[in-house]
Amino acid sequence: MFDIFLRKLRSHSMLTTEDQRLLASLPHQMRRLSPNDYILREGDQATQCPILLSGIAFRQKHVADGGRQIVSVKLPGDPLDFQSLYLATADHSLQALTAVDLAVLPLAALEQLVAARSNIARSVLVDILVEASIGREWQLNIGRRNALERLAHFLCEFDYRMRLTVRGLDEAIEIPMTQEQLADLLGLTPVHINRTVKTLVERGALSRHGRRVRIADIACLHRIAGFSPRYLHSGAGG
Amino acid sequence: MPRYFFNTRDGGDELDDQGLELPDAEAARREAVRFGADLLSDQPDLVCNRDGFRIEAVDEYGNLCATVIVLAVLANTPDIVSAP
Repeated sequence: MFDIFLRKLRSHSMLTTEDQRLLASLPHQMRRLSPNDYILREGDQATQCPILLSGIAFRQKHVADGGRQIVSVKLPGDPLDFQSLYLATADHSLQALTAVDLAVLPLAALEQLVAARSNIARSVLVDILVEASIGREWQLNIGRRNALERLAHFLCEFDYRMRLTVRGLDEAIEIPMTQEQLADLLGLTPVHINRTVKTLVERGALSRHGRRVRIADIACLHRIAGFSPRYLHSGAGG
Repeated sequence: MPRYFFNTRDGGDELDDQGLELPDAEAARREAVRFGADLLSDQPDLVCNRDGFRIEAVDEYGNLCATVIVLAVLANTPDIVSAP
């Protein structure tokens, strides 16, 4: 059940069989949440660290007038709150985008393991650093890429990260976000997202199936976005 | 909420087949302006044709609700120079 979480950590860090056994035997509770349910709210003092086993979640921040920015997307296998091991108060909210399954670990137990096992401590740090690297890439994406490159780049990352951890994915991954969610994620208007999706469909990079959109030609998306997965730092741990 | 569609006209017209649900025509006008600002910041040359660049917000019955028009005029174009 923890396989997908261990696979995520192993995608960037070296863990021995014993490290993996210890992580897999951490006490935990299973939780299933519906789309839009909150996992963590800004201001919370977390005592638990949820691990995303299936489904998609996102981090968001709000401005005073209610406008929001989705600042991070979390995929199956991702630990959702390693930050609370070190920082007391949540500085953003975490919400389910699709239905999600979580394994919720007590932070105290995780903390003990981190203190006892240097490989595990390192993998926690690397996971946090990779998320920071993704944040930097998103800053570049929103600040300097045009709408077509920006959407294409996000979809390249989504496809790449999904394939890191999720086994048995179809050739063509479906995009689970609504036009409004993509707009809040990419700093564009929903109407512009529609227009940009349409252009990517016309170029053959995406395909439309009723209201759903799938990635049809990842090589084409990579070309449009100028995508390089270096910032995702996968494969570092072997 | 009603659904509005945002068509652009800049010589080569592009029709919106998805639309967006919004409370009323006022909200559609604001969305049209925001969309135009987004689009033009990526592609400023959309405003190079003489009729300018237009976004039309249309409701689900095809009624025009708002038009946003952006024009750019160069001071030294022949039209302006030869004007009486």
